[in-house]
Amino acid sequence: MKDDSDFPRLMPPDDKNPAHDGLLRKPEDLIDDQFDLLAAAWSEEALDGDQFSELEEAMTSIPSRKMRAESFREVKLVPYDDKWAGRNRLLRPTPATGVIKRTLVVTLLAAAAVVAFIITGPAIKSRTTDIGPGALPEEAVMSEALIPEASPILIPDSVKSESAAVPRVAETERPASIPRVAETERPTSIRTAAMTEQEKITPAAGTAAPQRALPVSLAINTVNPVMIAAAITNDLQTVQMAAIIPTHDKADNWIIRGISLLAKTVTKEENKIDGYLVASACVKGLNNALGWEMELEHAGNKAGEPVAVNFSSSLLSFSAPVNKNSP
Amino acid sequence: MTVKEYNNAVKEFGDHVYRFIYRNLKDSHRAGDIVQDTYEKLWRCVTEVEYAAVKSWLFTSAYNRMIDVIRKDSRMVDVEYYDESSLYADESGSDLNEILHRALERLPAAQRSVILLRDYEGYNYREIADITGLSEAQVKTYIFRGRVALRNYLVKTSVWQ
Repeated sequence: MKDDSDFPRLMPPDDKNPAHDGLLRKPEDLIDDQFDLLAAAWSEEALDGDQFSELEEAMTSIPSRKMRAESFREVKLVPYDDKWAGRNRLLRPTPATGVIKRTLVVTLLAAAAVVAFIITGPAIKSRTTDIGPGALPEEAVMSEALIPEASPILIPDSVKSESAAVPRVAETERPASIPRVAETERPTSIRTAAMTEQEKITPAAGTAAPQRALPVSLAINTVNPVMIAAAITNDLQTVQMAAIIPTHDKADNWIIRGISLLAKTVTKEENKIDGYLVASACVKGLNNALGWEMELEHAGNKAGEPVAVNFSSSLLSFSAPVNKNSP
Repeated sequence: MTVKEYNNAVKEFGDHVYRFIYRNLKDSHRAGDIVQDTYEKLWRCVTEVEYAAVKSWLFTSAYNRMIDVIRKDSRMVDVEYYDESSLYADESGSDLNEILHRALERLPAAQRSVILLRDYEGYNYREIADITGLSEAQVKTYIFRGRVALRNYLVKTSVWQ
């Protein structure tokens, strides 16, 4: 048995499609949508050899299509200059930048200290109190020494007589109008200076209380301790605290004056420069230069008057009261 | 990739990734969030990514994150239900690039993304396919169809006669 007889197969007849030629297409037969897709690919230079030649043929046969295809070359987006605001926040410090950053932090802290000084410096003046000529702050009064009773100091009679002959400056030279601090405000300590010498060097009989005694050098010297106490008191009374503690008046603030002069030179105008303006400019400059986000702002009361200046950054923040007398 | 290279990637490609996402979403806050998430992700695997491939990595990661956001918000325009009638408006007198960007907003998300990658960043089809997860043939189709849609917008809004 042969294979052909076991599995008979059909032999295809030689039939022909009578409309075969009618199905053939030319490039110019492409409809607009098809042509557009090809033109878009052509504008992208994404056509291979055969596709490219067919497109050219299509454009040649219909001249308007060449312009149509050319128009796709203009359909290209030009990027806008969109900037991402948070870019700098994602930068990570490298070891080298860490060193630089630490240096900048120190510089910034120093600048902040200067800013704080400019803002709050004049406030020191307000801390000084008006002290009259007859009043002394408590800290200025001499302290007294307690010597145990077991170590009395005895002075020979000859010295006693010399001391008694010396006029007592405190009672003779001081005008009566000047109040004596020793007798009013510090009675306990000043009594040491006001007591007679005999009272000081001779302990009271029958009392066990500790006695106040003068140093040996005073006791054996010819100078009366009362004289010294009175003289010291006189000197202290003439001291004015406002003269000791430096103040920062507007005229004395050389930083403000220097900046005002510089601003006047640059702008040719008389500008009112104050501490807040200088500090604000410093903060803005640092923000612009380093891309940091520090803030300096005035805090006002209900009436709208500035009462404090608040500074804040990721490293440092403080609030300083505003002195209305400050420049 | 070193820290220095990471910082270079932030400086060099940060704006590129941002504008790609922003032009897709038209939402600066969301775009910023997505870019930040992308760079945080890059930082976590900074030692595993080569600097030569970091741009592609960034766009791929940002694109996937954007797709997640779009799907979550159900804002993705389905290609099959794309309403062409919403495309056209009177654009006479406007700048061509501005009109094209407005037309771009009306394209389906997939077409918009591939055209942006192509025109903004100059990626080839293979690279766009890698970023978007599409096949190269799909990328070509989306780009060509997108171009046709953009041109039709220009014609039908009387910009081109």
